Amino acid sequence: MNKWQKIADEQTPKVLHEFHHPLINERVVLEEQVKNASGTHPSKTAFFDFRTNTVHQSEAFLEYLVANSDIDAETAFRGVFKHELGHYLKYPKELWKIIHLRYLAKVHFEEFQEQVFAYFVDLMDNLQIVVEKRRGKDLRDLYKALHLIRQNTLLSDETRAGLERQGLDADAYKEIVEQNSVDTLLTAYYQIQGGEDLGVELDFDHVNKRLDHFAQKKEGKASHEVGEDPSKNLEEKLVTLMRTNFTDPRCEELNFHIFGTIVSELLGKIKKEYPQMPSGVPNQNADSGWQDLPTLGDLSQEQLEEALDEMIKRFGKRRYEEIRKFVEKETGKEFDAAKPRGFQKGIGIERSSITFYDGQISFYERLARVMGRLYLKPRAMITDVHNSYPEGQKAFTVSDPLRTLNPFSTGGRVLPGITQRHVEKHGTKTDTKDRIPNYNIILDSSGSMTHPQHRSIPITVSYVIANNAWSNGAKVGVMNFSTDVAFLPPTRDLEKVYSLLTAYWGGGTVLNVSKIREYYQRLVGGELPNLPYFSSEQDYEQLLERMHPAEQKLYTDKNITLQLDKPLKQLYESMDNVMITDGGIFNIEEVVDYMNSVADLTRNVIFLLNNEAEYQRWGDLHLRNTQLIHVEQIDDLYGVVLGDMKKRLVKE
Amino acid sequence: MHRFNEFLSGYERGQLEEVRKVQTVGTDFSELMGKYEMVLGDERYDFSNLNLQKLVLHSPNITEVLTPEEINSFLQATRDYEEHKDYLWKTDLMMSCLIQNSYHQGFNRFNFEIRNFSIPPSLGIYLVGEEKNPIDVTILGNAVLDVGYKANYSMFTVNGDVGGSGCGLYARFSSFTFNGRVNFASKLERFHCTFKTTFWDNIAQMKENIPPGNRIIYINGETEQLVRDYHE
Repeated sequence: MNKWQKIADEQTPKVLHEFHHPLINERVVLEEQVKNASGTHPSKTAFFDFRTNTVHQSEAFLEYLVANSDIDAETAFRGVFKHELGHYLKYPKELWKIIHLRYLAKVHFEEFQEQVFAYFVDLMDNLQIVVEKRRGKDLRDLYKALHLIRQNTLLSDETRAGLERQGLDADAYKEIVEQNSVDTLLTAYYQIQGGEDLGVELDFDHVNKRLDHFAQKKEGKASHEVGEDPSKNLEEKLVTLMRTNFTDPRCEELNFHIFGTIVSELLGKIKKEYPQMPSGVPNQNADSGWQDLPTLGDLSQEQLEEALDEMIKRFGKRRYEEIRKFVEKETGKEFDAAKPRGFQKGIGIERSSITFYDGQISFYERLARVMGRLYLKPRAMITDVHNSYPEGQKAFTVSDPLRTLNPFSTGGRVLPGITQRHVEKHGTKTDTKDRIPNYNIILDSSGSMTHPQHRSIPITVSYVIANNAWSNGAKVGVMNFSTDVAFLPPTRDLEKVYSLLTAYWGGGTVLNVSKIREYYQRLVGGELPNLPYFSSEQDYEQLLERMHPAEQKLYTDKNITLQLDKPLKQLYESMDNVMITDGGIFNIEEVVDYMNSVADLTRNVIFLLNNEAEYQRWGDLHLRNTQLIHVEQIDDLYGVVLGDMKKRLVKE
Repeated sequence: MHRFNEFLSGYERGQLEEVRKVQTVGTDFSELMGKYEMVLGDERYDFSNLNLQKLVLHSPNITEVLTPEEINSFLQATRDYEEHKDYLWKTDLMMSCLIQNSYHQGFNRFNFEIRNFSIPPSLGIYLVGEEKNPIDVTILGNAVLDVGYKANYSMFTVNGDVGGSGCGLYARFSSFTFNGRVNFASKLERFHCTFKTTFWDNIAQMKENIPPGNRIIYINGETEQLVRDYHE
């Protein structure tokens, strides 16, 4: 067993005990030179493998630390281990955050994206540990050692010789690198935050004066201005770091940009002076930071999918799509692939002005999937059930089931070949049973509703309902309405459902109740194949023309209630209606009348989005058997819908 | 009980950790983000309810003084809120408040990167500088919407294309330099402003859409060529 393995075996349990035994691999992997599994990891020091939750450390790096500073081997091991452990426990902790930060680094700091990312995650990790008096000691000692090594090796004999060979002034090089060293800046920051001298020599008096000034200014007590001193580059940057609240997750993106601007500026100055590092001179641009976190290519498909699931919940649609494209570009994999169009044809589609946005289906599908799952409550409904009934008799044989025996056929005695048994026939009968109802989603897609290309909460909620009803074995129908209405009969084809839910009419809001009635009649009559049905005035007029005047009256008189023949009654009983609208429906009285008609049989729920005036108006119209839910904040729709659907009771 | 004691016998009680509080001086950025979120979510901030220019110049709530680089960082951080319905105009207001505060404390030369924005905010609205020291704003990216709306004594340089209703609507005593294509769609009022461009092809568009009383200059390499003067 080599020296480092022995130290690892001794020290690992102690460190894990200090951190309350996190759920990671308890064996630290020691390697001569660390590499990740794909062999592409750039770290020369150590890294945390997020796939296996294992810390990898380079023995060569540990040797280098001990040989070039006064740190002892045990402390060096523990310091590096705690830093890597911190990536799992403190920051970034979650893979989605790594992806998001890499995306931000790419967008804002392309030239120095790797360094900005690496330094930021190190800062956020270290900061939370160096402030801990006992647990942070090893890390503070490690950074003290690293700073000492940096000072001693910045202008080594080898470097000086390399610079002079190229005719460059070695002292000028040292000055430029020292004045723009991100590592020195961060060590100085840890020195202040950790309350321990780490050997950084900056003009802390100037820093303190500037900080006092900011503190006084905040309290309105600043008597005189303590301005910036451009000659004190690192000190000014340190002041900016001290003014940044890195512990506030609310402004993490702002912090990242402020920090990235500082790092880019410092590295940019070195690069400007030395665009190509002389041979034999350590490259201050490329070797900066530990760079000990995975690249996107190191993550598995499952990890990437989970990270995208997390990000779709947290970010707006535009940001999510940008990140998804970034992930696709970096990994060469495809996520949320565009689905084939749900509808190739539909009745009346050529005359309708509805627009399909099938390219958005994948987005809403993922979003709905991460928004939670419902277990729908069965309710009593008229349905066909299996039924067996006796039809005739025949002689009982010993192999026949005993329950079919008719003992009365032979006066209570069982005589083989003579005693009769019932002959059973199987069929169906209409009965009332508890079943998961089919769902009919009535979605407003008028101009006032959020467009599918943006992150539409009503569409997402509709997807959640459809997805869950489908998962519970129900069929899902859709009515997508504005001034016209598109119908999809209840179906198990979820792609068609998604397609119509993501379609958009625009325009005003008139729910054409007559057409809904007509649609149901045609559905019961078997006139509609499982195709979407798009209404238009022309369709409607043609239908009326074919009718007897008495029937026409039935369809045109707004005051009559629904005439429910038996099949239609069954259809309604098997459907739950969920309407999502922002109100402002032109023919509201008619809609209320319709809802009241069918609500004796179905469960109707109307979610009215953020429209107090309409809520009053609807309330005054007395929806007898329909639940009207006012959703004041549209973001609440998820919770309200999920909650309501969970608790909804069967109407007796 | 005996077995429980046995179970505990190997347990060593850990020491209580002493943790220093992370020091942050001023906490300007943190509070500022909170204020920004409040402004975004507050329905009372409405075009019709507020004297917007007064809000920019004398906002009682937004008193933070940031450096120009920090204001740009703040702008970048607002991208996370791009899909908020009031994002554009409320972000415009916040940005102008911050620029104005910073300018009053002696900062100038504000550089903004807007290339990553799908619809960038209209920067520099309602700014008021001084004649001898105009507020200097440089924008990198295409400024689709108004830049320098109702600004006074300010200088705007757009390193990208400009369009929409144009730059500098109702601006006074300000200058606008366009280092990209100009595609204005309105002739609304500007007063005593200077409009410069490095593209000769823009001149016809600018002459047509910039009303009299303003100056148009073509920057031909190192020299400036007067195309139309204030009184023409």
